[in-house]
Amino acid sequence: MKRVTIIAALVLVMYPFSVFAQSSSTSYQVNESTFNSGGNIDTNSASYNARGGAGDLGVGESSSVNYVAFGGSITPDQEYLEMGLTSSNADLGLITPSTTGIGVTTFYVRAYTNGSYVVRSTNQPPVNGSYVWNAMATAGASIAGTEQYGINLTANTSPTNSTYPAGAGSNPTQTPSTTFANGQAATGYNTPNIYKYVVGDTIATSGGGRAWGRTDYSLTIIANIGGLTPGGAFSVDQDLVVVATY
Amino acid sequence: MKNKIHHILRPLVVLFLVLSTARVSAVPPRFTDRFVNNSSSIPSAQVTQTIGFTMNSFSTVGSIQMEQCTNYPFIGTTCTPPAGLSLSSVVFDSQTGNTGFTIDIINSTSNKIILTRVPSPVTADPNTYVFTSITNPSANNQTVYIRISAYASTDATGDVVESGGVAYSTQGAFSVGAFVPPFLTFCAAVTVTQNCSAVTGTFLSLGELLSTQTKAVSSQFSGATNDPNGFSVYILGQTMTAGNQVISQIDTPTVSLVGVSQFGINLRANTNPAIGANSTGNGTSVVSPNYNVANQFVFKNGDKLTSSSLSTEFNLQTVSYIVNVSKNQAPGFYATTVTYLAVAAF
Repeated sequence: MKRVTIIAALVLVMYPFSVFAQSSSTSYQVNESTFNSGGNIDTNSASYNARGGAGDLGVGESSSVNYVAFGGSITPDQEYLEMGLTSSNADLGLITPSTTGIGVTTFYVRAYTNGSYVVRSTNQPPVNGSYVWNAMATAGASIAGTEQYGINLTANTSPTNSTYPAGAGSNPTQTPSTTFANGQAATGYNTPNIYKYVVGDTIATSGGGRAWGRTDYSLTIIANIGGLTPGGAFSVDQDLVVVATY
Repeated sequence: MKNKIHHILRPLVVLFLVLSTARVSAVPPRFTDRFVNNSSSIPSAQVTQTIGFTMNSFSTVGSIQMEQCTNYPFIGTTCTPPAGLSLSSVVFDSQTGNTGFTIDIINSTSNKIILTRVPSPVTADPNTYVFTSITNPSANNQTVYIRISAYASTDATGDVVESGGVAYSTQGAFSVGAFVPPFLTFCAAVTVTQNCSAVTGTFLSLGELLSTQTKAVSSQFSGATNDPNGFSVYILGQTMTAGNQVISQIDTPTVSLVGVSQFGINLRANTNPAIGANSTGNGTSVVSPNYNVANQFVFKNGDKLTSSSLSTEFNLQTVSYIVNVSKNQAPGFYATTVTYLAVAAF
């Protein structure tokens, strides 16, 4: 009987290595197991933290010093990344030496990774023929009368114009809550009323390592003209690329 | 009884061990630090795609498969190829980490790249594999999974020795538009500020004209434009007259000659007579040659005084007028009106 007990213990030790988030047979497979009921749970103690969720974005993490477990509708077993625009155009309008053009567009990133994600802006500033608008290589405030093109991802109170009399933009919002999403504006693009634009820069990133849930970003664009900014129509297709590391 | 229990349990235990072992061996190690970086997320765009990951198995690897699907990142499940994705013209641009791979053009498909090499053990160095001339999927907001798997074989067959998934998303670009109005800022007066924020006076008095002395006065103009083709300034008007009496204009650049009837201008700092100033400002406007020689004066109706061939900041110009009269110049009240005309093409 003693011998049986020892062998059974071996079986139990082996068992955890075969745990999967997926269930399958020759004719059936469930890639993600989801039970959409209940609500958020956020329980903490000195040595234990547990979070769980329900619904489409119900993703959670339970952890202690030596243990991390995930649960929810999308688990780390499946790399996931989604990006979308929730507004399509940013019309900066008519810009004069004494006024600033302001535009706002919104996008979201929904990711589930064990690592992190970054959002990069890959295109040149707006162009008029062969003329490229002067981008703000270093972060700074908007100055009417000086040629500038910059962006940020925060709530601003300056500059203002007739379309945005109180300033433009908003801070990143986490959906459904900060329990599930952790996207944030990147350094250089996260200070109110300070703008910057460098092609290829990371403008947003997941915070705190792991990323899950959905973060909605508001991208504020400002543009000023100088004496040499040529007259005419300027335009560009803003190309945002999100890169996740798993 | 004890033997009977052993007899029953032994095959079960063996079965458990076999199943457990089989399950463990069916799960290849996962690549770490996996990512895919596209140069653009715009649907149907031609992109450069960088795929990176670290292999930790230290196994022998002869091929790596990178399959793009829209349904799952899981190796071994049915793959739905992304509509519009094309890897048929892909160029293998560069590789770092575990290298020596080339594209297996026989087994690669429109949504699958197979890299092949002579099988050799891998190291845990970070790998990057860069591909150009990839056509993005055509759908907007399309999540695409790349199933990456390594094999000991050279053609991505046999057991997977290590694997992992990455994901990227297409997204239509949003348009940013703005309109900058064309402007030409110009001012002319006795004195003006460089940016035309203030102008003073429209009348210049030469006083009494004498055959023994040159009379000289000056006025100013300034201008700027964002016209990419710049702008020019012309002078319009006639020489000084009093009824039908005329003070001769200087048709070619000439020095001031006391006792000779002359009317001329230039845009330089002069010493004979001491009048005028050189152009100032950061603009690109230049003075026409005939009016750009100190102590040489000329006047012709319609002459171009300054020009810039590109958009320009302000340049402040000082126009000096000199008048000489001979002893035979008829007395009278001599006067003229000159007009400065700034023209931009836009």
